[in-house]
Amino acid sequence: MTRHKGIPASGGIAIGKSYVFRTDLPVLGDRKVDSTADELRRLDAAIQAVAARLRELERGVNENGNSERAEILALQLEFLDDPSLVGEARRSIQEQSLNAEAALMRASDALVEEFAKVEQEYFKQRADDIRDVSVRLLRTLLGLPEASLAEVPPASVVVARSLAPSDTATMNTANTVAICTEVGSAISHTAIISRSIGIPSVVGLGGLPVNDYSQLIVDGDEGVVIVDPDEETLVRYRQRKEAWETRRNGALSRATEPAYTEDGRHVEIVANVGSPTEARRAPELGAEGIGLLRTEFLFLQRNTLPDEAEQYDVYRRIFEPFPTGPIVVRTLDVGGDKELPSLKRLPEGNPFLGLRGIRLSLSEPQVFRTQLRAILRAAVGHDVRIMFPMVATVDEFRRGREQVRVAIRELEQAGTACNASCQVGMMIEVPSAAISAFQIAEEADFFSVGTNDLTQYTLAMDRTSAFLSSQADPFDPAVLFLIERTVSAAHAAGKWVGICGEMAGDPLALPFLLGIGTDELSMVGGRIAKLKEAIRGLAARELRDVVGECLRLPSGSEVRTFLARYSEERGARS
Amino acid sequence: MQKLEAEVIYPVGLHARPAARFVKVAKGFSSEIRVRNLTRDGEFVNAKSLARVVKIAVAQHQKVSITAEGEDEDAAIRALEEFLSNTAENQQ
Repeated sequence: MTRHKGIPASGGIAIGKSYVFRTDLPVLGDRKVDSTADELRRLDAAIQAVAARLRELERGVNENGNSERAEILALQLEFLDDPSLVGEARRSIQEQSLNAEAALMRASDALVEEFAKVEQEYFKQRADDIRDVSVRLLRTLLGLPEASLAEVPPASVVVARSLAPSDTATMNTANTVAICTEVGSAISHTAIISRSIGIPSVVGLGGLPVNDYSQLIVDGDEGVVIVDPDEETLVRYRQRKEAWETRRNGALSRATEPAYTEDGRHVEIVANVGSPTEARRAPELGAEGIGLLRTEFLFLQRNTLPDEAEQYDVYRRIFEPFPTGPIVVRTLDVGGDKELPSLKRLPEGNPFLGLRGIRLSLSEPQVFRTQLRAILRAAVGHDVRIMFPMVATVDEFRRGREQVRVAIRELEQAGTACNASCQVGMMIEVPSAAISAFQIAEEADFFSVGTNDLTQYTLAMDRTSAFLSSQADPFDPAVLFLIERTVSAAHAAGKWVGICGEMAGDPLALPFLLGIGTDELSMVGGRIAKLKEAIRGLAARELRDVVGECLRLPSGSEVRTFLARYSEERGARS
Repeated sequence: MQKLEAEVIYPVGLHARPAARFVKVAKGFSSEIRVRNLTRDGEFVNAKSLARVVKIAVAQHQKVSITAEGEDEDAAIRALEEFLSNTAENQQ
């Protein structure tokens, strides 16, 4: 029995057999080739195929944990053009008539070996990327399929170096009981995916000495993995697992009931949705509506823009499971680090402060109105609300709203049915919008606070930066101040306000967010059951004091400590 | 042959995005360009290889020595010097 400590990424206890997600390969022999020219052509074709695939993945890297993964893909693309990797491989083919597979792996092994001497961990890790790229090339040369998690057997703990969005996209989630990775952080893709499925996950484990079918205990609460546990440990964890499952199932069974605090305060709990599949699952997970429909998936991974008819069809399918509940549709939010192949823009020195969100839509009015018309048509018979991303000024909001009016006029002139009474509101994710919230609230129908971007723009800290992510804290007093101001502003103007960032699904933040009077919380479906239980354990009348203390404290870590203590004491009392 | 000594000011050192961009700048010239970690007294490596550049592990505030030899050696050194002194655009 061995015990390994990592970073807790998704809570809960699982016991299962390891399924090691391997990207290594059969042992290869050297072979002399007759035509070095043919062999060089094979290698070049493989390089081009892998480059195309990596670019495709880079484009498809979705909202969650995007820029870290995009950066790794960009580095891997650069290694594909590296003289000490492919250059060396070409030389071995030319000078020794070696086959491309052997030539490539020799160059790769030699490079990886050199990295073993590097002492600085951070630099050393790049050897893994060199190896990943080489293995991708090798699989292509050998005509092997991409490694996939589609065939995971039942009750598996997936063990991997790290998981990319392309890996989890095809993963058999019904058979996966937990995920362990060697690298990664609490905000990495693996963490986000595990939480959305509702299974425990431990990341950043370093090396984990397991083969397939080792017995594993994964404790996602403590960030601990136990390999080949002894009987006594197993018995103890089985009890903890049962307790967790009972808690989770109890929460799940009440997930579809509305959530009231002890003293009767109701909060609307809705889901963040990024595809028709997620929309279909959301009601059974307890969502009363959609608080954030990300529409980017319609536009990514394709070379042409979706037309009005195609968008209309998809929106209809997404709205269908919600005959009464509110559906907040965010208009296209690209730019920043997400670029569309179909909407080429000039490069900008600082894309996060550039033409992104509503700004991009306003610069492409035809594209924008095509989306608006499709939404307005699909909204017939539903409570659909249109939301603009990345609004910084009232002027941007006015120009967006004007486009909605034009879209309605276009539809009415053509005699096409549409829902002309959709609310029109905006995200609060730029500090200026929160500061001007009292003025903007006079014009917008609602606000939804995007705490992730609001945190990064308020603190000027890239939340995906490996150096800053731990400091980019949404509990920072400056961020809490802006959230509180936004809610007060909305209510002063008689408008509703929601929260749709990561923070909305964090039980630790709940006493604060409820205390300031937030009307709606929107989160990934997997978090709803737990959050509703947390709401049922709170009393609204106590929360005014909690808010006061949170806003008085000088740092994010002190706020966290205070809230953790409050939740603990509150739990002990009830 | 042209030479340059410079301090690396990116918080990540010559790694990740800065390293990839450094290599891209170097690749824009036909001259043979080599770089070494002066602070660690390391060996010279090919500045057009990302793997080599990352391997010499230049951390923030360490110094590098760069040489360029070829037709466009002056321009190459100027471009790399400008790149290394420009944090605003490259440190993200």
